[in-house]
Amino acid sequence: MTSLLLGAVVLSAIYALVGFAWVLLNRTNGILNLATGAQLAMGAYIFNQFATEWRLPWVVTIVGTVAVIAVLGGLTHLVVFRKLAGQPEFALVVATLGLASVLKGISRLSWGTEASIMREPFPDVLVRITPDATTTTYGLLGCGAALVVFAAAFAFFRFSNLGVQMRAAAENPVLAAQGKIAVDWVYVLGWAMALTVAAIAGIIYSYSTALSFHGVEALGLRGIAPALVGGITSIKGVLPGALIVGLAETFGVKLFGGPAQEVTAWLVILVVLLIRPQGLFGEKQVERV
Amino acid sequence: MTDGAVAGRRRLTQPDVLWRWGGRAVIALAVVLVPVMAQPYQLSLVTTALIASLGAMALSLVMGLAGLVTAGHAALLAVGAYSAAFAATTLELNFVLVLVASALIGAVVGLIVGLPALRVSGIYLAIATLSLHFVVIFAFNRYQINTVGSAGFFLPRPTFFGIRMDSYVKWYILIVLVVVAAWWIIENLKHSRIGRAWMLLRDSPLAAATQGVWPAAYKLLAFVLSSALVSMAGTLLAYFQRTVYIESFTLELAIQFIAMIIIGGVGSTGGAIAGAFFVTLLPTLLSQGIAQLPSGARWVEFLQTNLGDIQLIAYGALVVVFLIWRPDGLAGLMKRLTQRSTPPAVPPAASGVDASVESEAGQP
Repeated sequence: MTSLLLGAVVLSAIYALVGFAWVLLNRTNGILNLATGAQLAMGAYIFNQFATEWRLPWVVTIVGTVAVIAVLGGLTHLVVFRKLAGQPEFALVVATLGLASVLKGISRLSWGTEASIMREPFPDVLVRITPDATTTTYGLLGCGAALVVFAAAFAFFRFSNLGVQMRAAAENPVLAAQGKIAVDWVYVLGWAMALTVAAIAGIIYSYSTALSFHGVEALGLRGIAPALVGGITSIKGVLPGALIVGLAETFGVKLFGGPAQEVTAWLVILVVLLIRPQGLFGEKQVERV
Repeated sequence: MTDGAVAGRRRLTQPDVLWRWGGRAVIALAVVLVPVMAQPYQLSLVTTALIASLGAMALSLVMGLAGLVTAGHAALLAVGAYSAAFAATTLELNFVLVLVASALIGAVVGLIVGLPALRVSGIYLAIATLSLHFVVIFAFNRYQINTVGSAGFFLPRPTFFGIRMDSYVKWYILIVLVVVAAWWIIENLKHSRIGRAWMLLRDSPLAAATQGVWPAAYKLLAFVLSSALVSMAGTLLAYFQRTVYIESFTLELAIQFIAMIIIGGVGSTGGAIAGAFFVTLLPTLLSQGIAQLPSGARWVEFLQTNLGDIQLIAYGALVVVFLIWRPDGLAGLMKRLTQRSTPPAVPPAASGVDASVESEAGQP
């Protein structure tokens, strides 16, 4: 039982990271980003290119991956979404679907579809937490990454000037622009941050399973479940949301077998929409349209 | 709304009338000539594109008129296809009965998914339909594995009111009739009280609410109607191809349908059909175009082996490019070309999505 719970927590950490990417973009850029799955996979493949294909030192790998992903995120805003400003909300969602298709095609052209193993910075060994519960080093790495990301995000949005500017730009872009906030660059930063966190999740997930476009993309899409459970615009809601989805998926697999993994998160979404569509911490929408 | 929509019917200039009837005559001629001229393979492609048109028209209803995004098209096609598979192989029901039943099942599925999502806001429908996709595909995959295995279902040749559907020409005629009927229903719906309520709701929810339009109910109606039509299209596709297997219902398929109506023009029924033909025939055109290239060159081989991925990129890029450059799609492009003679009723709107629908709103 403890072993099962520990597994759920480790899974939740990954879900928390993916959910963070969904919520951040929805909050700062106002976009429901259905390309998150493809971007998660893209991030993992870029990392793999540095780490496994080119066998570069780990520092170069990490810096290079973050740089490439940040540039890609910036381009996503400048090339696509800046041009769509002022279009109805559904046009933005449709654009993310188009983007997902493009990224999937590019990724499969560049790296193929077969699952592969990434070069490891340290071996993946079993770690005994309590006498009857074990996890792996990469499981712990996921938990650590989630803690760091959420602590950093909390501090950033609360205390740093830039974080406050991002919140302002999300709240009201026109007023923020008049208050000398470079809204475009705030959006670029939003994309870069979301894609980086998404990539971290994709990389750690690939280490604990294997690197395959299909698997990582599916995880990225399922990551909307913790975001929705917590309330699609609430960053702090992602943590309980991820825990709920992680527990549901772990016990779903335990009770109904492996295939349940693909579908549990989606069932959680349908149930949440039925009971409490605005999520745990979501604001009740005034405009009920 | 434009003057045309308010007046109910726009006064047409002579060139307008000429364009319209000329256009209709050309389309009618093409519809008659295709089965005469085309080879069986080409005819089956056209029929497939026509079935896709049904799905695209349904999507156009949801996205163009009600302003909702749905990613559940592949799932709803699967609902129709697997209903057909179950009904034909296990229950051995009549084709026409299965068509009606699958439309009803599609409507019920649409109701179940749309009801909770549309309580909140339109964007939640995108999330709910995404869930629908994965849940439905999972369920049908389990069903298929437990019954017939990974090869999928084989359907018997159906009989339509005593006519055995054993040739491409018969299928073509049947599907053309269904498409014309769907067109007629949707066009009339567009100009009815319900259609105007949808458009008002899309353009200004607040104004719609003051006019006694209950937003959630009208949006739900749009989604349920379109779900029924897509499910029926899935059944037709299953009987036409006579095989049903899970690999054909992917999220990419749902994105392809969105590409159809973005390229064709959101909200325009004719545009949806044009987009469906474009997207359905593009793979064949691409592979034939590549076959014309000098063989042996490395980049030609690269194109040949990676056609599927290149298509993914092409569809996605076309969606994004059309959204940015021409949100009213091919339909808007046509409109601009044919209506140069008359000054446009509205200045080219910032959200071109409206333009295509509004300028059509005056037509009977």
